[in-house]
Amino acid sequence: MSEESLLNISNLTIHYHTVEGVIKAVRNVSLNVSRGESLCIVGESGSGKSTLGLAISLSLPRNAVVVEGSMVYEGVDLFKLSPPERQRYRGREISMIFQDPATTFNPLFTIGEHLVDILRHHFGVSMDEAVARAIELLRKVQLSDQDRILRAYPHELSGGMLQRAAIATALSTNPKVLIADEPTTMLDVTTQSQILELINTLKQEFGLTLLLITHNLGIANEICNRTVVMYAGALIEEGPTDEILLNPLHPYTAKLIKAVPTITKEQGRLSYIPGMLPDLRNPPAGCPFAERCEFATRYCNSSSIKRVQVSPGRRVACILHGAEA
Amino acid sequence: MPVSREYVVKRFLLLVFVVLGVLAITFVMTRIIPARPELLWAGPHATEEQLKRAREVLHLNDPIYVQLYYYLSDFFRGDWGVSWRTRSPVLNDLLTALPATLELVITAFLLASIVGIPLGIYSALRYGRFSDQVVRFMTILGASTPVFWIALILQTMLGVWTGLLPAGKRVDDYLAYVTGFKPVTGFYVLDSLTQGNLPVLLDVLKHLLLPAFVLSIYPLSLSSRMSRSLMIEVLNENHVRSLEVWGIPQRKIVFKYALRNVMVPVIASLGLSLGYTLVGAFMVELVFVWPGLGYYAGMALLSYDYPAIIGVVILVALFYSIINLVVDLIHVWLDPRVRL
Repeated sequence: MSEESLLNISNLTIHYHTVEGVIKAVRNVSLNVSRGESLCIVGESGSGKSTLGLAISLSLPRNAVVVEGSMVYEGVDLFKLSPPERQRYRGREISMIFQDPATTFNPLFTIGEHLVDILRHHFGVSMDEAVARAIELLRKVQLSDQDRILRAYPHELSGGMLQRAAIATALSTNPKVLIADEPTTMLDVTTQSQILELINTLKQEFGLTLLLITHNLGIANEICNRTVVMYAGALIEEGPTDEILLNPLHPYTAKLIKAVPTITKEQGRLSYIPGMLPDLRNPPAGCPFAERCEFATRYCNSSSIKRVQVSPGRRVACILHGAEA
Repeated sequence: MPVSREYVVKRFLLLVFVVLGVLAITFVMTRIIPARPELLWAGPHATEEQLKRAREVLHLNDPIYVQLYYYLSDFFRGDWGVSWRTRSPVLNDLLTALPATLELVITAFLLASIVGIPLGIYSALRYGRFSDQVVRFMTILGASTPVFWIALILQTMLGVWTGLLPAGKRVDDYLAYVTGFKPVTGFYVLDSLTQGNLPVLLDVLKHLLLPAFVLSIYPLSLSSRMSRSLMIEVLNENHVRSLEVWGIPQRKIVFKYALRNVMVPVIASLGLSLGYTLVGAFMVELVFVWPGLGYYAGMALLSYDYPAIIGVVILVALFYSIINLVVDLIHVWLDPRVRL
């Protein structure tokens, strides 16, 4: 794995403006992504991991505001670019697939119309050339009967097929970074592992840098050598996936690992983390997990907890591990 | 083909039954109104003897179902009765009035679609800004103001006070006479065009402008409000986001992809609102003395002209049913998920 930095996010803070108030979805996140690595962003629903993914793919919803921070991609701060300049990065450099393959494509257009349109837009190729490339892409995602798939409307295909088609479309632009936002959550279990395997294969073949967003640490372990854990919009732990799984430092990470059901372990009831995510309109000043944490001290709530390096490549934001209060 | 032949056949059969049902109900309703149509038929100075004869001719002494039988047997032979007011066959009257109404309704409808849908989409893209607020205010006003009221106000302001536009009728009769204008199809715009009669064409358009605009206000507001809210909704959908992520420019996402998602329901509701527009046309025609179906129906109602009333109602029912069918077929054509 090369250590060359491809994407460097620092102090990223993103707010959503909604009728209920300002939601601080991503708070002061710093993250370094190396070229060619597979990085997992793990967290439960509402932890801000999808918002982070959309921010990296330059496709935040209209009501999201980047309050602070920079995102340097190959030496360019993408947040400083004008909208037309930014357009050159969308799809072309950074592409993305989503959780629900059934709503990824417009229901009134065929898969082929999407795929051919994107190919022609990015490469200016002729219709025939675009169709030929589309067929080749569908073959690469192991879809047979490519002609039929191109002519099919989304409702005529299964979830697994649609997710494969979405992967083909996301890769049609030859991106350097692929963000996969919970790509297997809506699929049934047998399809899940196939899709993960496919993503892994294509990562090698296309030389991708992969950002896998998931709530499932088991999936993280299968694919990614490095993992970051998010909680309530903050990045609380970072390190090699196997180390995190074997020796989680943050109490939240430990609980999250426990919550992954396995068939090898004898488990009466599924374990869960008591309590709820803090209200992100008004997040706590200190550690966001303090309220649910069994090891919480009176210092945890005081002021912001900084992430500290514990060992090379291993960082955690927890007072128990020497983080400054 | 996503439409089965059985479906179309079924819909046509249904259409026939709907129209027959409407016919029967209208017929019975006109007959149970406590009025004495024979007075009208026989004229103001009729003797008792003449009135008695009139009742016999009109079958008014028979029970209602017998009257209905007489009516239906004539109806299917193309004899829709003779108007008691105009004394000419109802079918002839209707076919003369129909083009006038259609010209008005079609113009209003084109205006509504061509202005309303882009206005709504513009408003959606300016969501929350001042121009969006203006459009929203105007369209909610347009959708909730009674059409006859706007008709009267605009007629008074533009037609009577300032004289900018004609206050009524379809064409200046004198101008039509001296230029030798002949209504062939009854669509005056078409007729004056084919006859190369430029002065009459301009005059016809001048006459058409105000009533067509008034009539278009409701469907225009409706289609604008619908396309606005649908566009806002569609732009928040996942498939729009994925196209954005994949690098398709916003303009293309809106005008190629999202537009189709918006158009499917808008076309359906516009089609259905064509029915309301026809009803609106009745009011507008009465205000602007427009010699169409509405004016004819209004006059017929005021003079207890039963055959004419039933004729108009049947024509409207037929119109409504056919539009419904066409809207459904268009829906199938636009949305690949729908199968009939």
